[in-house]
Amino acid sequence: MTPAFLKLFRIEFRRQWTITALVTPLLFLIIGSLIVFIPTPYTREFNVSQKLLQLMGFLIPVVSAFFCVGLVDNDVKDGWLRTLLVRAIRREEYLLAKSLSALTSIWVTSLFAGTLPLIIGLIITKMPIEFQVSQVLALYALFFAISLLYVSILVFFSCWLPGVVNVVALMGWGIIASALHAYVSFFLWDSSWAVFTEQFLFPSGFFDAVDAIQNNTHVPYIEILWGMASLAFFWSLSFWSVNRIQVDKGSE
Amino acid sequence: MRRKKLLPTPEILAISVQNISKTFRPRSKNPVQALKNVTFAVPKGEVVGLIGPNGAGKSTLLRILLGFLDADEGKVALFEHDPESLMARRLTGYQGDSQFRTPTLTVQTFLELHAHLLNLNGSAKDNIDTLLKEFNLSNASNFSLSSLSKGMRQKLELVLAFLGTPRLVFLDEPTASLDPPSVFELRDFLEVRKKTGVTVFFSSHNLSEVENVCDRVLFISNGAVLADYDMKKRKRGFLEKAFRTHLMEKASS
Repeated sequence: MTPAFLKLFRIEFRRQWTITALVTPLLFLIIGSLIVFIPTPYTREFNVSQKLLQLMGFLIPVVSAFFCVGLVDNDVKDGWLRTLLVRAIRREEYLLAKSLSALTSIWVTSLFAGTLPLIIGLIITKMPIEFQVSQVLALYALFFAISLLYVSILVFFSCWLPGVVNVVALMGWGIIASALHAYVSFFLWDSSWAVFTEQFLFPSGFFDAVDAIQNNTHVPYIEILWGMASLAFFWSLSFWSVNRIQVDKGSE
Repeated sequence: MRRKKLLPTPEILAISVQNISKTFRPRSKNPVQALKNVTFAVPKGEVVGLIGPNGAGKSTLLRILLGFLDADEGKVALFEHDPESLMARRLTGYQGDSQFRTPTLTVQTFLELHAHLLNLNGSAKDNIDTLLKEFNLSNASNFSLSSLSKGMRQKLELVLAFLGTPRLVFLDEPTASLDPPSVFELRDFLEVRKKTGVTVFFSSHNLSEVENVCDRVLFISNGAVLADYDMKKRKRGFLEKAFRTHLMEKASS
């Protein structure tokens, strides 16, 4: 990493933390606290993995959408990308700095709003605590991979769709993904083409791995490999897209 | 033995444009041919103006020269490099009209980022300070980018264009939002820079400004370069007369 790249990363990170962005973690902290402190019916223990799953399962997609709205599209519209690309910087470097800064912001917010209530919950709970370090660490690692996947998909969408539309597209994509995953699992599980297409266009590998870890069924090597493959696919799409977009959308 | 006759080394052109054409929406019912077989060359150290009516193709030409847009046909080179290459970008500066209003960045931080991207390292601070002073922006160095007035933004874009030691600078309507004293300062600044051998490509609607600053002027209309004037021997007001003549010819045709 060159000093210029690091500087660009720091600047991109600072650009994301506007006043609205500074208030957001507090808002998410309230929602996170509600998730932790509202007792789940029929539970007689404080299950850390279960709480973590509920917290991160909500926070990661929402926070990703918040920090990645119009990630590339806004930079094209307001001319920020144009001022950068006049310099000796590759589009890939720009995308990398941009995505890394978004990822950092997502994790700063998620750790603050997701882990803090969990720690407080652990301290004040009167119920017996169920806590497996390896399980919790594996869940954190998988949620990190999921956030990487969300950023890559949102970057890809934001290269082609304006502003908030890319978040709407992500929501639509999420709904289709769950429906298709259920359909393929029940009816087309023996068709390798259906499974292959579903895993790439609507990847569920990391989510299946989270389920496997949470339920302690098996070590999800295959699921993680599917997740990695779709992650590579979406990052390739993002890099391809950022090299294809029109930097200057001035009048024709 | 006969001595070899020394051939003069061919001069490297700052800008070389050969037969470029560009059509927007080529497959639609109403395709817009923005540029038609445009050819011209700009030697090093020249200040060249680009004038023409609205919709003539000035912005498209500028976007192609900067590598933001690909021409359908023809060849463009900046110092013999492709405009999109990192080598060409190291040699060029650009003043545009960006609209970003980032409240969390100051003018100083923004310029420091560009100094980093230009690998200015040790000389960055001096370079930034000198340019801020030349454009009367020293007091605004700690202003956030969202609090700048239109004129200040224009000056910041000019600072950005001349940051580092660009050999070729593209200026797109550089005086559009400047007050008269700032226009005079820019004129003096360009005079000084011209002496250092920097090439300037200047697109503007302000004919008197173009006349004051440029060595050569290209007149573009309907996507074609209609005239290439050498401004060294021209009298004041020449461009306005020429512009009127072109418009009348266009109307009569």
